[in-house]
Amino acid sequence: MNSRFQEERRQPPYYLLTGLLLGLAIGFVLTMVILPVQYSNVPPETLNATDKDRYRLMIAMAFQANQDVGRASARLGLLRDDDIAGQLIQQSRRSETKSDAQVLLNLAQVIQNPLAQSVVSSQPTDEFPATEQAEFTLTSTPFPTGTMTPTESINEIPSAISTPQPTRQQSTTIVQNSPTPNLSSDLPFQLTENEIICNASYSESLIQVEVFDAEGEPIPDARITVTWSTGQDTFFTGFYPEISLGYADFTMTPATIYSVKVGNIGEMVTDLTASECTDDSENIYWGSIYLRFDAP
Amino acid sequence: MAAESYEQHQNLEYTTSQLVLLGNEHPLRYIQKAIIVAEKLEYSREDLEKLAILAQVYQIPENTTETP
Repeated sequence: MNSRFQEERRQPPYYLLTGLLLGLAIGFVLTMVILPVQYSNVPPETLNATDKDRYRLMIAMAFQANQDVGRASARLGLLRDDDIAGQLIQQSRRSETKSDAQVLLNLAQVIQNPLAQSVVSSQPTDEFPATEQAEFTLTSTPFPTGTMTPTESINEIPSAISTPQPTRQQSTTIVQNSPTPNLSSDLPFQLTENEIICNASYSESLIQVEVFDAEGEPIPDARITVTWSTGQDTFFTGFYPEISLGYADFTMTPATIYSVKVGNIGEMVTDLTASECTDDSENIYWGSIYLRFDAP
Repeated sequence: MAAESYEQHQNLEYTTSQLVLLGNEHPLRYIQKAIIVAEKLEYSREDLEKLAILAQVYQIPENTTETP
């Protein structure tokens, strides 16, 4: 009797293991399916990268409506980014639509240069102007109509919805391009950034050039020369002030190799060609190139 | 922010796409909550009016779809 009793007691307690596994499974189903965690009243700085982008875009849209840079800066400050304007510019480069990119760049430009004059115009236009007049017009963009789907429940109601001073008209920023002499031609501009841009929303494959002075300010009216095996083109920065006063772009033909130079004695960047990019649906399209040149 | 930008572009679809990011409730609920919070925090009258205007916009379709 004693030996049989001892033998039975030595059996492992499998029922405990079964209970543990069942408990884990039930807990997993409860937390992941039935009662998932609902985040509420979280500060914007804790949002994931995608939601931060949405938050910045909403701020930029609101700024477009009220032109209140103080309020926009305060809101952006909640994200605790080290370089607020830089983040806006980077987001504009990966924006799905050109209109989003434009409103983000508008805000970045005002934050970088608060002295830029802003006025409200009643002329609603929906294309980017590219005039050669001394007065450049920055047109606000048409608002997108696409519907986004929620990916996370975030109850940040007051800061997301409330606030102020709108105008029914589309705003227009006018940047006075003073007739300063073009001194940038003889600066030895150097390439400081060379980046392939894969953005499926671009309708063309572009060489996007931005030119900055030694203080990091964009330079308008800087001459850019693009050469390829069968031709050459020259153009100037400053015709897209809604993007940057130091911005210009050139449409590439795929499979053609280009060289780019800024001014007369700037660094010649060679072997530039459109790269193949792939979108989410595995479709291949031609990417763009971003080049930044800085004066020493 | 949604109320501010709506007053400019008047694009309800886009504003809705912004508000649905807040959760699964109807956008009107979030606007109503925002009004309550804004009153507590003593937001300006202009801000409250913007929220009220947006709330009205969401209420109009609901009323028109009711059967007599």
